[in-house]
Amino acid sequence: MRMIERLLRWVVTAGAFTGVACIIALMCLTVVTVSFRAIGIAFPGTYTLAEILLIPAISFSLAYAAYEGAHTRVELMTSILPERLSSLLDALMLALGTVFWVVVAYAGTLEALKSARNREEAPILGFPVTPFRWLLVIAIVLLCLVLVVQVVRALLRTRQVKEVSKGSQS
Amino acid sequence: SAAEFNLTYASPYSTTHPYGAADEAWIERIEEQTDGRVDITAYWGRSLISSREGVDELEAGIADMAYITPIYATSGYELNRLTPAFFYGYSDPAHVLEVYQQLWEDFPTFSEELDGVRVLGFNVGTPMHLQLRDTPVRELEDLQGLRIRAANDYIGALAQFGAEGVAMPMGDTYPALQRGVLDGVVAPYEALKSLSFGEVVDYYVDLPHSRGAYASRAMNQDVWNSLPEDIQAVFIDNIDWLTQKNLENSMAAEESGKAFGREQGVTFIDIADSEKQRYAEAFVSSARDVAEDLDERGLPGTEILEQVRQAHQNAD
Amino acid sequence: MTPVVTGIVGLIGLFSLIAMGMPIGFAMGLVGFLGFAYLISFHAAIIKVGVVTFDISTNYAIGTVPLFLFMAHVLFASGIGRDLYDVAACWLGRRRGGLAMATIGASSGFAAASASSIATTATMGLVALPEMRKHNYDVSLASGSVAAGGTIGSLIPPSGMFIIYGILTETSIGKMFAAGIIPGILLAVFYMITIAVVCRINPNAGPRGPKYSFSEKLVSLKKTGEVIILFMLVMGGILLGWFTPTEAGAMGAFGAIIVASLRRRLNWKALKEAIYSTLKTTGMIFGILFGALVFNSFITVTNIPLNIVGFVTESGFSPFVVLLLILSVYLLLGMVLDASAMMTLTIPLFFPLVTNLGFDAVLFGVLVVRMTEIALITPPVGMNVYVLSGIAPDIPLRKIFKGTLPFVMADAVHVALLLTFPILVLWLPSL
Ligand code: NA
Ligand code: NA
Repeated sequence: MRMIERLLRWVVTAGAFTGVACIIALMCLTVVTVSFRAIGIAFPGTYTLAEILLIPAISFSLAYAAYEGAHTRVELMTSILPERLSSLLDALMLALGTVFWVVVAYAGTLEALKSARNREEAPILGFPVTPFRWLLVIAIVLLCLVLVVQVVRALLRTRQVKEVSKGSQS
Repeated sequence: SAAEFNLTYASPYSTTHPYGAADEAWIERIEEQTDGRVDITAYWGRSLISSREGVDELEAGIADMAYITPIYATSGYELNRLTPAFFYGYSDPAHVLEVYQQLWEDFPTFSEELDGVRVLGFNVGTPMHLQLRDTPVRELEDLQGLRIRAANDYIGALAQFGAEGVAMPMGDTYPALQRGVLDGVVAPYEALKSLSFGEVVDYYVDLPHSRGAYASRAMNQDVWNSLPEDIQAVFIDNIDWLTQKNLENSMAAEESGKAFGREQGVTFIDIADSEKQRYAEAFVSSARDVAEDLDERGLPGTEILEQVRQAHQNAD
Repeated sequence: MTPVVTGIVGLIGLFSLIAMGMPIGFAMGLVGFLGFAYLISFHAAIIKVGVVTFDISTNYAIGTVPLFLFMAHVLFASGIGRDLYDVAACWLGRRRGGLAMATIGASSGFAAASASSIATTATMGLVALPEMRKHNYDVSLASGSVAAGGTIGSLIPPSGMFIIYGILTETSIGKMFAAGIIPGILLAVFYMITIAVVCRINPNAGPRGPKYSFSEKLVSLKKTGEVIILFMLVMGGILLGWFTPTEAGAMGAFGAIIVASLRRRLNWKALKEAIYSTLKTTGMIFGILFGALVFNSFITVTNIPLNIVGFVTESGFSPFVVLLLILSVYLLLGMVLDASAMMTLTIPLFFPLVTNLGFDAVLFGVLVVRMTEIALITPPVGMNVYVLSGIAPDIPLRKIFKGTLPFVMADAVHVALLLTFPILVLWLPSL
């Protein structure tokens, strides 16, 4: 488990770095476009590029938020149940919730395969879009892995009730 | 309801739009002509179907019927998606439609590309022109340095005359024209009113940007196969009607766009035919590129391009 | 099960899962997917999920949210947000609820630069919320005023919702923009009065701060210089046509970094923290958006909205009663649907009805946009509230919803006023 967690942290960090790089690139792209526009130089591909950059920015942010336990939830029930039961409920809810993201990853895979088959190209700029569709799939798969580890962690908690759970989500 | 066949219809447009209005009339007609055996529930304005992936969504059965826009697809349907670009220089939508429907007869690939759906109507767009915020354009040299929102297909041609094509989302265009982020937009007469551009542009220059035509209404193939022949026949009998109704509505919208523009004090500039001719030539090389790209994929790109250009020449 | 029954079962399922602690976006996505698969087919549901998730991941207009968040996180990490509120505390803190009122004012100002409610809420949540809490404001009042303040933005141009309405109904966008201004200002005033009333009832909700002399007040203004320059740059840039409101997020974020660096408030560590927090909040917001979009598709095919609309259309009541009914429908649908989904689903059906009854398209547009924005702060599904709770995870959702309640009541009065005196809406566009 510890090995897996370490590996996961490494992968999530790499993913988060990709997401961060894309957000910064997005900002710089707009700033450069606006500045150059002021002196009459145009980049017709800005919007296309921005839309493509958004894919990794958003999809890796989803995985990172899950890793940080930041996805908004209501703690009403879990806060009144005994700890063991609430950990069990936690595990169950995260496991069920993961199903949705598995669906997203599967749907993304179908779309990526279609994009590859059709040799999808970005308008104006003409570079292939398929790799970015795969990035989305990779990020969502990573999100699923994060959730699975959290499910396992919650299940382990039900066994070791006495240990104070410090990493619990807020 | 008590009907025998309850079908859903989804469109990215709303009923105030000419295409949506045509659909509404068509739905009523189908229900009437099938004596109420068919009942159609409509979902407007992208609530059930998108414009980029509409064909795939229809094929997957998200709706039974839909307004499809293969021209806006991100990939796939190459002939359907890319050949509208061959219609540069055309200005009469009825003629575009005629030539396009001939292509459908001559090249079965058009319908084969859409093999998960049964086409029930065609759409031809009225031509787009140049709408300008505060700079009149009387010859192509006036385009120099202007920032113009345009569909991807037109950006190359604009660039040849020194204008900067901007691929801005439609929702941003109005404020951008209002504040001067843009100098102009390539849009049809209709948009003067429907997108309120008449309020933020001073000049309308009739430099044509033809939009071609496309298969625009369709039914999921499995649903189609499940219908009895007499019901299918009603749909088939209405293909031309829907197509014509669509064109009729578009022409009417063009007129009300012009009227709104006049009301708003927009100056309409008739650009010289020689300028239109020069502008059309700016599309030649990119159309050829598209055709060659299609050829490379084993599709009759060049052949179709030549047929479209020939028909244009014959009409002159 | 009929579609409507399936919809009701789905809603019950959704609320149960949320109550049992499933992350809200996950629950909406899961129920939405299963419901859609049940009503249409598994394959159709998969395709729908693929389309909506890719659509939102490449949507430029929504994609500016991370950049507005980045700006807010930079302002927060560099302490500039704190400075701003120190100044507000100095000038307005003496008044009960003064900081919450300042938040409403700041939200309205920010709204003039941003076309999105979510961006406004997230930004003010990061900048204003911690400061109000530091000054011992009741969390409900503090969070309620931020969440509600975010909804003013749709009335003040530029407004994404007015543009959507204008395009859907071919109503003049220019007139919509003009029509929103007076109601927008009026709403800000209403919200401030609401804060005063809440503080009158519960004086501890927004406690009085210390008293400052006039010279101290003047000195405090020094702290605001850079932020005012930043704000003027972003606003001025939009008004002068240097960039669009969607580009303003990037310009604001970049400007915030420059300002913070010039003040030597932004070291490498703070910047790193700001950008990683941006990623986290982005993920939290899009987690909800992904789920909400899938859920909206499900609700659409349950035909619940169509049935409700059909009922109103065929009710045969007098025009004014029909209009009131329509507004209640928005309040009802707004409990579970997202603002733009509600618009696209209902406007094409309601609009012809309302205009046939003789109501003005601009007036109806302002009312509808208002109703869809109220939906963002009403339980159980309220996007602004969810976003805020993601930014301040230690505040339970129900406390924020409790905080938005007085504002929803103010909204009801506001809408009633616009209905009674349509001139408030129609005067500016008629000029
Ligand atoms: Na605004
Ligand atoms: Na709500």
